[in-house]
Amino acid sequence: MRAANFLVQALVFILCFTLEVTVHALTQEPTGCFARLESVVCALENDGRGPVELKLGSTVITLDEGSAVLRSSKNEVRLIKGTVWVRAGDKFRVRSEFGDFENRDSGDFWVSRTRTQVTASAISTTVLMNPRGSKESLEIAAGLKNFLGEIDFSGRAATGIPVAIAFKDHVARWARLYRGPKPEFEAAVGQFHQQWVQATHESAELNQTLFNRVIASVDEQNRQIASKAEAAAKENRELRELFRRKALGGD
Amino acid sequence: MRNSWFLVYILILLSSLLAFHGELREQFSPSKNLQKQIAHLQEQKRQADLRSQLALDQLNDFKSQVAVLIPSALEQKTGDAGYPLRQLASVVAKGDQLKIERASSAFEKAKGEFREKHFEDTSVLLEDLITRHPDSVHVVEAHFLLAESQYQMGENEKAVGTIETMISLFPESELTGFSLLRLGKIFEKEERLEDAADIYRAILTNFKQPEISTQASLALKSVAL
Repeated sequence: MRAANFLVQALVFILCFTLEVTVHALTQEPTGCFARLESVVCALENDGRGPVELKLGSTVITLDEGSAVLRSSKNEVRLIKGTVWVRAGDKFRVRSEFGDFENRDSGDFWVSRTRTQVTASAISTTVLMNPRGSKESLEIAAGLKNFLGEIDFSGRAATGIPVAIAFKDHVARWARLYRGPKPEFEAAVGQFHQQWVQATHESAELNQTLFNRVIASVDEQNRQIASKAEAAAKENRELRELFRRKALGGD
Repeated sequence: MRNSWFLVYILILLSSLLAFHGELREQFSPSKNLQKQIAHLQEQKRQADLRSQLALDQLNDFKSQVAVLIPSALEQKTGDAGYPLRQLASVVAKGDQLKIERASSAFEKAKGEFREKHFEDTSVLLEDLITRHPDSVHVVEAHFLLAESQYQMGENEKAVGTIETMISLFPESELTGFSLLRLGKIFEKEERLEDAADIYRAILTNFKQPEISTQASLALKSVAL
């Protein structure tokens, strides 16, 4: 029996020599730029299977499959495509053509993009969102997400309102990129859940306020439209009366 | 115990033989060089793709920069000098160069048909252009020419529909102002003089371009008479 066990172990040992190992591929432009000085501008794309972790100064970023970033310094990347998970030890900025996102304190946040929108999800730190063409920053509290979109006719990037992160979707995405022990992941998810519940309540209140403001603004617009229509009708009546008087020779 | 040592010896020997065999096969395989070349070309392709994505990102960044600057530039340039800028601002430019070029040739063809007064052909070409290239830089002019062609063919209802689309999609375009003048004329033809007068007043309020406002005030006067 012992000999059989030994034989199986030995066979597994031999098979290990013959198996092909899939290496996570990281394309770099210029070639090999990532290992050089951190000040070197370097484009990085994860075109392998599974996530790729990169250390930039005191920050660790994880690139999802098919994601690409341009490292411009140890504190800044530009998101070209896909999703990046940032575990920032210090201030870290993720840029895009619609504006940029920066953490206020050390903590985690995610940024993902499509061709027309860049969305940031704040996990354990407040994220400052700076829309392009605007001097004001918008805050995204932990547990919430918000987006930047294309530049509108006012010359400012479109922004959304902070909403709660879709919990299940986020945990599924997180699990796919997480590379630590399972108990640690469960603890991290538990901690995030608490923040998420609190953020959901806060976002509901915020949305209620915004909703009330929108209703008030629509009411005001309707009132102005009615007032303009009334003025136009009055003007038309007066003009018709004037024409009638002129046509009938009343004056 | 002795058996175990014997097994270990045999397994080490076996794994060494396997490794040696694998190495030999690798060295003398005719496909080895090809595989190396394929790997090298794949790596080059990945790098080229990344470079192309970076170039596209730079282009998008430049577009956003232009879009940020347009509103302030528009404030400084009024009248005819601001026309190209207003035209640019009326269209959110998307898509690649190839798409724009394809739309350009289709638009030139439609313009040629319009000049030859083949309004039916013009309508077909322009409707196709608007459907297939809704983000083309020519889309405002395409709507304008379509409305004109429909008017020339006596399809007033269709022309009104096209002009309404222009009002909702490109409210700031100068061509929308000219189309509104056409709308006023359609109402005059249908003897809806009050509606026509309303349109001319709306033009005077919303379009400050000298040519449009002159035309609108003349038309308003003629309606009032």
